[in-house]
Amino acid sequence: MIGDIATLTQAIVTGILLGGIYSLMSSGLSLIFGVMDIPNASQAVFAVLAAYITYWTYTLVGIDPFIGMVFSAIILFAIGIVMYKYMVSRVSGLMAFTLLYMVAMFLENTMIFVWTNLYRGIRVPYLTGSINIYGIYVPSDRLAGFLISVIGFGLLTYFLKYTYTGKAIRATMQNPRAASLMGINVNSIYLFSFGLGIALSGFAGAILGIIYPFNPTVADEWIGVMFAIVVFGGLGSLMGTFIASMIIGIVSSLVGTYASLVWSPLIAFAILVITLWVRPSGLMGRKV
Amino acid sequence: MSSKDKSKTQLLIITAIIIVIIIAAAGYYYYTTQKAGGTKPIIVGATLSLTGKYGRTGEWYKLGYELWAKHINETGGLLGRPVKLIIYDDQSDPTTAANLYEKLITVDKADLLLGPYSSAIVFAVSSVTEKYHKVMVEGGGNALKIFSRGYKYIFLTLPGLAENITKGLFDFIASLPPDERPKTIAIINANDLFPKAIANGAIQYAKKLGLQVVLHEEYPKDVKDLTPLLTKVKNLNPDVLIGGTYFPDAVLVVRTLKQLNWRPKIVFLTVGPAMPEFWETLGEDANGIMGESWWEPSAPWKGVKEFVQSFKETFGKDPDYHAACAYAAGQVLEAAVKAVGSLDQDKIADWIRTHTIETVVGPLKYTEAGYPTLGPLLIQWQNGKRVIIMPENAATGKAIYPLPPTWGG
Repeated sequence: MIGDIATLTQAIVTGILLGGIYSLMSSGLSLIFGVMDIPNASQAVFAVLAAYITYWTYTLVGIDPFIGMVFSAIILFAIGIVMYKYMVSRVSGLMAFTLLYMVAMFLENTMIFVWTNLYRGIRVPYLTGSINIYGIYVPSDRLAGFLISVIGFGLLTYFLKYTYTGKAIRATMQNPRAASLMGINVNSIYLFSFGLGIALSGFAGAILGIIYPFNPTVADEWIGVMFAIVVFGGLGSLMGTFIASMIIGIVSSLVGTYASLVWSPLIAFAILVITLWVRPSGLMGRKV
Repeated sequence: MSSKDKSKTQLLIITAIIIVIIIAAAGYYYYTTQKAGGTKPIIVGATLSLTGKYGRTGEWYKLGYELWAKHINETGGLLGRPVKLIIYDDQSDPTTAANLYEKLITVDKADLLLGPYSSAIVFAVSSVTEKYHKVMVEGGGNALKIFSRGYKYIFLTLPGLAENITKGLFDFIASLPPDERPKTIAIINANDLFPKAIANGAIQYAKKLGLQVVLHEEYPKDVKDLTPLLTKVKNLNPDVLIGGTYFPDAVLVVRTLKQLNWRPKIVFLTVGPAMPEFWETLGEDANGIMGESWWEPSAPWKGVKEFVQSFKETFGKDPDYHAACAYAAGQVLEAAVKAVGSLDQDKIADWIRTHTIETVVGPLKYTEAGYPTLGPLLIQWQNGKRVIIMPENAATGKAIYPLPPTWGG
C-alpha cells in the first residue's frame, strides 16, 4: 500500500514538473494571443533560437546558462519589438498567422543553414541527477524549469494586476477601443506585449536546451502542444495556461505510470477536446 | 529530262553517297574501338540525394563512390578499362530516382550500378534495376521490406538490417561465462518503424539465448518525459536495458536513469551512442553506455587504414560510415567483376551471393535475400572514446561489465 502511494506521488511530482516545462514554453504564446488576438506561430522557433544563444554563450564564453537566459531574453525582446513595428502591426488575423508562420519557417531554415541539424545540449553538470525527498526523485533540471516557470507566471500576474502598464495591457485585452478612449496608447501596449511575449521564449528556450537535446527542427514538435495548451486554458488567461499545462503534464505522467506512455498524448488530447466541447472558451477563458 | 530534273537526280546521288560514307565511317569506328577495347570506359551509374532532405548524407556517398573510382583508375581500371562514374541528383525523391535509374540503364547504357541513399529510395529504385536484371550494390537502404520481395540482383553493404542491430550485444552476452551472464532484459522503444524492428530483433536474439524479457513497452517518438516508463523498468530491476532509440530519446534515457539513481548491468541504446554528440551532451554520464556502430575508422578490417588516410588526403576530412558503405559497394562490384572476368550481370550476382568479400566495412557474406549478416559493431563509451567490444576480432578494448548499480553523488 505504501508502495502504491509512493508510485502515485512520484507520478504526480513527475507530471507537475513536466507541466512546468509546458507552461514555460506556452507563456509567451498565451500573452501575445491574449493581448492582441495574434496566434504567434513563430513562438517555438524563438525558443530554439534562445536555446542556441544560451548554448553558445555557455560553450564559447562560459557564461552560466541562468545568466545566458536573461541575455537571450533581452535579445529576443529587441527582436520582438522590431518584428512588431515593421511587420506584425501591419497585418491582422489569418494574415498575421501566415506571416508569423513564414517567419518561423525562415528562421528555422536559417538556423539549419548556420548551425546544421546536429543535436546540441546545454550540459549543466550541477543540474544532472536529482534530489531524493523521502524516496521521491525530483530531477534537478526539471525542478529548475518548474521554478522559473512559477516565478515567471507569478511576476507576470503581479505585473498585470498592480502596475500601470499591466493595467493598461489588461484594459487593452478587454476592449482596445475603450482603452484608447481612456487615453491608453494601444499601439505601444501592443508593441511592448509582443516584445515581452517573444522574450519569454528566452527563458523557455534555455530550459529546453538544458533538459532536451535540440536542433532547429524540434520547434515543430512543440508548437502544436503549445497552441493546444493555450486554447485549453482559455484565451487571455495566463492562469488558465498554467493550469492547463499542469493537467496535461500530470495526465501524461499518470497514464505513463499506470498504462503506457504511448497512450499519453491520446488521453491528454481527449481530455482537451472534451473540455472544449463542454466549455468552448477553455478552462478560464473569456466567453466566446 | 529537263536540266532541273537532272540536278535533282545528282543531288539524290550525292546525298546517298554521303549517307553511305557516314554509315561506313561509323561502322569502322565502332569496329575499331570494340577491338581496341581498353579505351572505352566502363560506365558505373548511380543516383544520390545531393539536394533535398537527405542532401548532407547523400554527399558522403558521393565522396565514397568517387574515391573508389579514383583508386580503381589509379590501379589500371576494371578488366583493363577505366571506370567512368555517372552520378545524378535524385533530389531525395524515390520517383525521380527510379526514373533516373531507368535513364542510366536505357540511355546511358551503364555497365554497372551502385545504389542511392535511404530505404524508401532504394525500395523504389530496386524494382527498376530488377526489371532490367541489373546488379545494384548499395549501402543506403536496409529496411527488411527491400529484401523480402525475392529480388536477385540487389546487395547491401551496410552490415545488416535493423533486426540485426543488437546482434553484437547478444554475442557479447553469449561470450560471458554462464554464471556471470545477465538473465533478464527490459526492452523499450519509440513507436516508429525502425525502433520497432530493432526491438523485434532483440526479442528473437534473447529467446535464442534463453534470456527472459521482463518488459517490452513503447513510447511516443517525440516523448518529453521517460520517468514513468523507466520507473517501471527500475522496479522490475532487469539485468539489461535495451532501448530502440533515436538520438534525443537516447540522451533522455541516460539522464532519467541518473535521476532515478539506478543502472542495470548493461545499458544498450541505438543510434545515439554512435554519434560524437552523445558524449558532448552527456559527458561522463555516457560512460559505460553501449550502442551499435555500422563502422568505425578504428575498425581493424582489411584496407580501413588506407581508406581513411586516402579519404582524408583527397577530401580533407574523416570519412563517416555512409562513405565507408559507399566505398564498400564499389569494392563488392570490383571483386565480383574481377573474379567473373566479364560484365555478365547473372554471373556477377551469383558470385557475390556465394563468396565472402573483404571490404572496409568488414567481410561481407550474403544471405539469399541479398543482405549481409555481419551485424554492426558493439561499442561502449569509455572516458570520451567509443571502444569496440564486438566482434572479438575487431575489439579495441575490454567491456566495462557489469555497470555499477547506482550513479553515486
